[in-house]
Amino acid sequence: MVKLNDEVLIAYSDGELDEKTAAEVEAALKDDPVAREIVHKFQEAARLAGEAFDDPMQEEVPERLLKLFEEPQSEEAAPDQSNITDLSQIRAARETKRHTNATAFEEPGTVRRFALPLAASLALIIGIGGGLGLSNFTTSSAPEVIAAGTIPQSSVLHAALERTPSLQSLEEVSGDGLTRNQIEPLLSFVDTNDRHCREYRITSSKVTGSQDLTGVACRGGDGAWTQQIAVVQEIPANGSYSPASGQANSALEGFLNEIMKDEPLDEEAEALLLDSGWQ
Amino acid sequence: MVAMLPRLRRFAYALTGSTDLGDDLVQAACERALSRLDQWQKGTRLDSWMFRIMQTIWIDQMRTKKVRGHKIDLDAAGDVAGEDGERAMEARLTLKRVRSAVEELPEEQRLVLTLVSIDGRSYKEAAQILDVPVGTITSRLARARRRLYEVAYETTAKIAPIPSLEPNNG
Repeated sequence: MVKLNDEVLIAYSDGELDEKTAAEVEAALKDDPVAREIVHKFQEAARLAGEAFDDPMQEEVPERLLKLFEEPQSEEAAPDQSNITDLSQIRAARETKRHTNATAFEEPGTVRRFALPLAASLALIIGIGGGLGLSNFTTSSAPEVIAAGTIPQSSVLHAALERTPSLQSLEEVSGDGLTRNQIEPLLSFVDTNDRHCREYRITSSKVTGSQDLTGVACRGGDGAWTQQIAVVQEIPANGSYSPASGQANSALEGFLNEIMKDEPLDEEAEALLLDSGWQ
Repeated sequence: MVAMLPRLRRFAYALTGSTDLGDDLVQAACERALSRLDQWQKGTRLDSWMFRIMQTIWIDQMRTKKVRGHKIDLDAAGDVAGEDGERAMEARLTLKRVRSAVEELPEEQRLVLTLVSIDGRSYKEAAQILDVPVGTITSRLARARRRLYEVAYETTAKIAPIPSLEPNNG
């Protein structure tokens, strides 16, 4: 049995333990309210630290810093290849595949909210709570697009982007047990900056209905995924959804075409990257 | 590198305790990085390299100057009406205390906290950037988060400090 101490508990609260140890800690925590409290407070401290210094992520970068980069560094000019890939066929193929190997999946309904503009530099992130993944995501109203930044490494979304093949999904249930999030990478590709990117969908279900977020995140050299765009749609509980909005789809499609270097990666290429940790 | 600026600024803000001083640090680090771009090895992480440069400059500054900016007083409670207003005010004050607490941490704890809990690095990545074992990261982080929690809620009598498991945990 693992011995609980500060080091073990902090690693547990950050999702840094291997699966076996984490399971042992979890079992030990059941009988140890003091240790549970420590875990909770360690997580709270991390949340506070993240929030306390978040301003730079929400502000414009000051001019004086941007100026440093104004003189063109004599690197090769960025390739300006705006070749448009027709994603509709790829999508159709994907949808067929999904319906054959997974349980029926609800089609998204009316567009509820929409994160724009389509600048390639756009970095938006949905409110993803620290240790608990997507706890801020689902509310009865549209989710807030709150800040730019990276997807927390402790989140289920990060795990899905990092390790889950396209069209397979991970699930998480919120702390209160009322919300179920299904996280499904949809496709992988290389962007014009040679980063690996993935499109993904998060379906967040509650008794009152569900929300559906489709986003694109790209992986930086440091292994952190940064969200680039997100489109949120609401699906009412009564099942009266209308077909996916053309507007939302074309915006997402337009964005993908803007940043995608070539065609999406095929299954084999994606599998190699998943195995090698995206190297 | 430009795309990295918000993260570099956040990192520098947490290290220096102010956005202005932080931006000075980012600027110094970017200038150094741009002049030494040839030293960056392609295939290694550009941002880890940048963080390391920033960390080095910051530690140099701390050691040579040993001067800290005077602390900004906590905002006096304004005349915000209503429960929501009060709660928002309380939240802002808590975050101010968090910033002071981070500023008071020993350098090495502040670096670890910033890398892991603010920039979202894994312990392994933080260990590589700081060139210390993962175990060191873990213990520094636990100390830093304990301290931070206690300072953040010091004036909220209802919230108990983090309990200890070991009798002699200091």
